[in-house]
Amino acid sequence: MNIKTKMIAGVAVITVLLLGFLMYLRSYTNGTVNDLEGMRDQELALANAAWSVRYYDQIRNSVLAEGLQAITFHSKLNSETGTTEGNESSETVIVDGQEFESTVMSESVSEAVDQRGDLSAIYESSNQALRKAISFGLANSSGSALGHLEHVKATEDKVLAASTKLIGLLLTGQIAESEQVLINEYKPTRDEFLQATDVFFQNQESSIQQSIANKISNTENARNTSMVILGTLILAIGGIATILAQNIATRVQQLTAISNRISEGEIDGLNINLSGKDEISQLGESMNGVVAAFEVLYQQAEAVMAQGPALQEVAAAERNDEQ
Amino acid sequence: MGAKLLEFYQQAQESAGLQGRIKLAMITKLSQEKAKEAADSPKNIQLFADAVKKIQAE
Repeated sequence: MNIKTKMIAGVAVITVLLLGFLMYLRSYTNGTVNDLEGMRDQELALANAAWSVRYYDQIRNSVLAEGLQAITFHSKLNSETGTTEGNESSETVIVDGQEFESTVMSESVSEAVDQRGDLSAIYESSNQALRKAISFGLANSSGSALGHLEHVKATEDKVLAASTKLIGLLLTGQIAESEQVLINEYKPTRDEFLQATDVFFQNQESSIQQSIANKISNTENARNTSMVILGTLILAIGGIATILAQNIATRVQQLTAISNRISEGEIDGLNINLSGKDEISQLGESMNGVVAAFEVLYQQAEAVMAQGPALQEVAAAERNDEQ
Repeated sequence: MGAKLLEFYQQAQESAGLQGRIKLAMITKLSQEKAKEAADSPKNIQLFADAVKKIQAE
């Protein structure tokens, strides 16, 4: 394997490791985003629905209480004293985005009765909004949340029946009967309903707490895993770089040492043996050829030197013969 | 040891003189002295034979 291929292989390994790490990060981030979206779309949405149920129930209850109080007050006032004066109180109530001017405490029974339309409208809107919130919750819940919400709906059906009966009596001025319904039917069923919503709330609260705890735990695990992967990755990259650098640098150092010996004329017994099959080992092989050629030249020179005295004697003899 | 390899040096000398021996040394990476000590292995013989052929061809 030549140096270029080794470099490319090293870079490829590092790239694959980095890509693997990025894939892990992407997978974890996607998982977290999905978890948070799930929490937003289900647990928090259900909690919101639960708050809406409680809110609209409060409005409905206030409307009933206010209506009952106003009509009872004016009836008693009218029958006892014959006067039509009473307290006045006005309040804006917002139900499911709609504004209602609730002025049930009016100056006379007739006015109070005139305002039964307002009372009825607020009551109807509260019921609709409440049932819409319950339907949303039922459509988006599962498991224990669904069970609790079904119980909320069952109790709400009873409250609705009692409150419808109650408001019917109120609007027709049957005060004594409405008080009986209030005490014997509306209050017990509403208590049951509030208890059911409390259970649902607690369930949602513990579910959200559990989800958050899981997400924190998952995030901590992912952080620790990322640190381990990143540490391993850094060690692997460092290891690969060191191996590549040592592989090249050590043999280049050997070649430099051999070149120095050749430049100083120390070719005797010089044998270059570099491991590997790359350009550096090929360079070492070529240098072996050069060293061998030097040795041949060296031997030739020695042979010529050895023949030198004999040739001088021949030349001297020839000169003597000529004289 | 190396008797046959030395014969190749002789052949290179006859073909191209000192230059032939130098080329043989460069190709085989074995000088005459080292060839003496090297084994006459089939691999070495093949290497020297090919080198001599190349020198003779030049």
